[in-house]
Amino acid sequence: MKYLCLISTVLLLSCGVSEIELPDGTQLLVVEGWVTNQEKQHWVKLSRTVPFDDNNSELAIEDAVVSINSEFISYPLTYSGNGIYLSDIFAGIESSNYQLNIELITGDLIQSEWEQLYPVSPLESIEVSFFDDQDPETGEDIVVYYPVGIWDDPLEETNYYRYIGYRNDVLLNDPNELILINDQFVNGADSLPHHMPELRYALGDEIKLELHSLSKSGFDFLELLKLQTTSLGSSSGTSPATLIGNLKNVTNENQIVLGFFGASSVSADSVLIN
Amino acid sequence: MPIKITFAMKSRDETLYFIAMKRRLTHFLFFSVFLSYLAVGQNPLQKEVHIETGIYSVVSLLNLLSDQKINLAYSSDLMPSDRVTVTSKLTTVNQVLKKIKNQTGVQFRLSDDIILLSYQRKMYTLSGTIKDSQSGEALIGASILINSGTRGTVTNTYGFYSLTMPEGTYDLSFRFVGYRSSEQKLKLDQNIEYIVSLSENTEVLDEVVVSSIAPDYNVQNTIPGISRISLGEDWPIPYFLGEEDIFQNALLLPGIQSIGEDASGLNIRGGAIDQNLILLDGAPIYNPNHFYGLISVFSPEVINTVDIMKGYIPPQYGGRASSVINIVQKEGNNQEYHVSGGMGLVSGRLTAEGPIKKNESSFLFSARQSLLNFSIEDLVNESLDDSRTSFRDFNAKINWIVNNNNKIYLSGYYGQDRNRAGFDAIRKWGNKSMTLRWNHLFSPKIFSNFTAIVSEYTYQISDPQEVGSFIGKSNIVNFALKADFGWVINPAHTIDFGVHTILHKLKPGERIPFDENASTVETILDTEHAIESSVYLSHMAEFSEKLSVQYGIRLSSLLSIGPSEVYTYDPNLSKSDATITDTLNIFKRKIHHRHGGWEPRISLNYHFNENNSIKASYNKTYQYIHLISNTVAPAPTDIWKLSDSNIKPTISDHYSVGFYRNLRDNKLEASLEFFYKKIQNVIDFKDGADLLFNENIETELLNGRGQSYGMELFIKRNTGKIRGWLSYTLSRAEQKFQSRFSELTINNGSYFPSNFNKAHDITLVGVLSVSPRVSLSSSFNYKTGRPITLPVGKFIFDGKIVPNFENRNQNRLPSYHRLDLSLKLAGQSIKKNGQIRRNHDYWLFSLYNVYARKNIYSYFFRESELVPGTTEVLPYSIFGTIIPAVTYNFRF
Repeated sequence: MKYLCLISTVLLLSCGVSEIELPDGTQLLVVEGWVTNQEKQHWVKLSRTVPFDDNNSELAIEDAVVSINSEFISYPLTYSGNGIYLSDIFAGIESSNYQLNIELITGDLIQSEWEQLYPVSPLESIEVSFFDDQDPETGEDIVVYYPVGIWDDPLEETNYYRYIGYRNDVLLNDPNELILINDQFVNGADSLPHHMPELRYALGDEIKLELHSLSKSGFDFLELLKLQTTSLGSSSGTSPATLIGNLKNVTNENQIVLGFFGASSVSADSVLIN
Repeated sequence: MPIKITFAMKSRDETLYFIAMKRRLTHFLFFSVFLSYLAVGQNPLQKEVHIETGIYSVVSLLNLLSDQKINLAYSSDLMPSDRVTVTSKLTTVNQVLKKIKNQTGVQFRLSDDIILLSYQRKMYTLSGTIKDSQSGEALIGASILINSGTRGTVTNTYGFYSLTMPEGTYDLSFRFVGYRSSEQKLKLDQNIEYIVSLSENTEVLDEVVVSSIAPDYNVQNTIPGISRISLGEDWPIPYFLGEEDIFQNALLLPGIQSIGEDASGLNIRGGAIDQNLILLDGAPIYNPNHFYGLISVFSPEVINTVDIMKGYIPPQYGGRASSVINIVQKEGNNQEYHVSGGMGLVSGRLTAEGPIKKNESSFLFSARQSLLNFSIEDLVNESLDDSRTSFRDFNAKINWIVNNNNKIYLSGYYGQDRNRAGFDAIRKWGNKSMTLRWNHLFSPKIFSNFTAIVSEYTYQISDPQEVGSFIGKSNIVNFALKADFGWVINPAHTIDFGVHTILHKLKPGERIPFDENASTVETILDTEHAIESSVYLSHMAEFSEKLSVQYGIRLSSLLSIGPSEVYTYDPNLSKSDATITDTLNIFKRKIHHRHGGWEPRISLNYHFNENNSIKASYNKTYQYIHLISNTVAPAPTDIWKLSDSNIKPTISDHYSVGFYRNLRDNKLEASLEFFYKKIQNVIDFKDGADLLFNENIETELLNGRGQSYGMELFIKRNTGKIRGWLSYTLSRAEQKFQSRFSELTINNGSYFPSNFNKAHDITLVGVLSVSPRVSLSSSFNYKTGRPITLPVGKFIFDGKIVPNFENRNQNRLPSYHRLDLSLKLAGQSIKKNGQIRRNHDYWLFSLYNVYARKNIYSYFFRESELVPGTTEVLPYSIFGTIIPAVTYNFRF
């Protein structure tokens, strides 16, 4: 008995951390697309999920028929590679409703909910603020500059926003650089300042900010996306969740569709740090 | 109880003869009647006997009578052992019996020609308190044994005992582990109040050592599943950063687990962390954690006892589904002044106690403050700059013995934690409580306790920088009144009953501008009000030397009262802001919803013999307040919510059975327990739930069921050079959420493991007393890894790689194991000149995670920094290195 205990203890202790075997799952359809009030070619991206340890992170869908419909017009999109479908140049109209329609080669019809293109109050200006920090690589003391977006929030409705930042025309796209605002606590404020220390700049950089309006479901979806890409695993981490947005497989209702199709108005501004 | 009945053979023959004769000849009738009268008609009391002068015991005198053919019926067990003096020869039965009656009180009467003898001993009560002879502190759970049998009783939370027994002389033994027992021969011929002072066994220590209760407590006690924490200098086991802690100690016992380091709260027998009722001198504590759950708010220096009731919960407790953690503070030495304290890496503490009026009243005051103020990140990254985390505690208690029948206690607690969150936000939280108690003895048999409690738990986050700088607050205020009575009828029967009521005022959230420049609007969520009341009755009965039962019933209820806004939802759709059908505006003090239920409790104890017993129990409990958390590990930011028309109470049914055995003359105690628990109305969140200042949080909640079952093995050695214990828990905790709405269903409605489910949990603790001043201790812990949800795939959205998940908790983290060591070095106890040194001190050197195992706390699933575009699974450990610590403790 004594020896059994001893041997099993030794065996237990010697088990190191083994390779993690990831489970298999069903392959799901992922849709991403936005309609804005900007005059441009709008895009929709279709792909499928891949196993987590794959070298590629997505599998493009090249053979679907895609269109964005408003109440009056239908804008067809054509495939242009890498799972991306492009429309002709058009601008979304404020307060109009838009729906995404996808027909897969299997005959399945995927539809989004009707999304309203909410207006956005213009981005008044960008102020620049800074804080002291240490360079993560060299350990030197550096000064980090960050933008403060200033705009007015309308009182009558609940508004949801997203700020997108560019550094010298390069999109800042890390998970913690996803900035979302809900006017629940600042409703109706004028010249509202929003500090964004997550967007880091150095002296001489050009800051470009875009303020996007979002629907509630768009805001909720992006919040969930942010939690799932920033706080999973940490000690204050959230529970893992599935990113089901506003899309549904009309033909096979029990097939989940991931992703979101949204509508936004955009207002932009830029400033140079000197 | 054997009844001895004596028949004189001859008279029976004569009776039969009489019957036979009657049948034959009537002219013999007269003769026969005369004969039969001679045989049975004569009053037995008038019969002739011969008793010589002398001194006889009652029983021997009665034996003499039956030798002389007198029919007597009596139970020799119940006859008194008194002696009868016969000074002149006795010639009739009546004379003998009268003499016996006059001298001893034995009664007799004639019934159908048989003389019945009876002896009614008068009952008297022996009661009092058992205290520590040095400090006057009550010894809780001390035992009083009668005539070296297994019968007796145990002192209650106030050190009070009561024994009602027949008149007589008894050999009593008063015992408490760590103390010299006191043997007394007492003649009980009236009600006696007997206060016992016991002295500690060890020579030098002034500190009260509370390790285990009376040696056979675990066998004798009717309550299965009760664990008492071994605290104090006598058990110098290695603690994290050298800080002795009640919860860290509790984790070493069977059935008690936590999610991991950096997760606050205890999971007891598969229960969530809000299912433990934590009482500090009767006041409920909502957040018992400092410092990321590694240090609790209870300063061990001021604690007298900690009892964790995880199996059977006596009817006087309720309100939480899994356990009751009853923490009783010390009262303060009422004879001498003492100052004690200590300092370690994490905190410094100081306690002062002493008499206000010697032997009558005393005080206890204690303070603890964190030092160095670092956070876990700092500890791991070895950087200690800028003040991140700090905490402080204050405990105070005053007690006053008004007279023999009345005692008053006033105790208070204040605690504060502070922690930096995010870029510039500061989080603060803390518990405050004050308790006033009056113990009153109506008689030596009726003990009562009246308590008034006020407590508050507040949480606040202030952020001067964000959009609209703000201060966000939430809090829970409780006002409680309790009346508890105990009636000790006799050593075999005690009845407890009482009434409790608590007023809850819960503010789920209030968010106000940081200052006049902030552009935040004020958002104040409605305060919830409710009254939680209960009434209970319980009976503890010893049916025989072997079988005892404790059972009772508790009736609890929650009344939700206004002012508030109550939403009703369309029952055909899942709750959301869009499906609200009605909003009711409830006026102040109006009751708008009731919840309630009967909670039966029963516990049976059968002793095979002095060393072995089996116990079985059943509990039903209702819980009306819930901790809402959408993080995997609980955090101070979680919200408390009361049950109401939209949130049902959590109800648990708990069954357990256990075998208890003491081996080697009580040196080794062992137990094996099995349990099964069923929980209804478990609350969880929808994915991505919006919890922040949500007015109708019920729209984000899921309602499900849980169950847990398992086996707990515990073996402990209390005395000797090597002491310690082995605890092994094999268990499973699972939940299921099933609804006709898919968004309220998890894992297709089947059972899946709870976040804290760990199949195996083994702890081995050992303390080696190398010499009176030096002891070594080790603690080894092995646990199955907790469940985790691994990604089944990934995709790209918004340029970011996102993991995709299917069913929750289908995999497990690797096992967790860790070894800690400590060395205790006590200072000299005798000064060079031979006098006892007043300052008693010791150093504690500890090593946490001796073989530096990087126990994995969770995984990060993210884009690889080295090879962008690919993903990796990164394990995250909280403490992957060995962590040494030094603590210094003193007392004088």
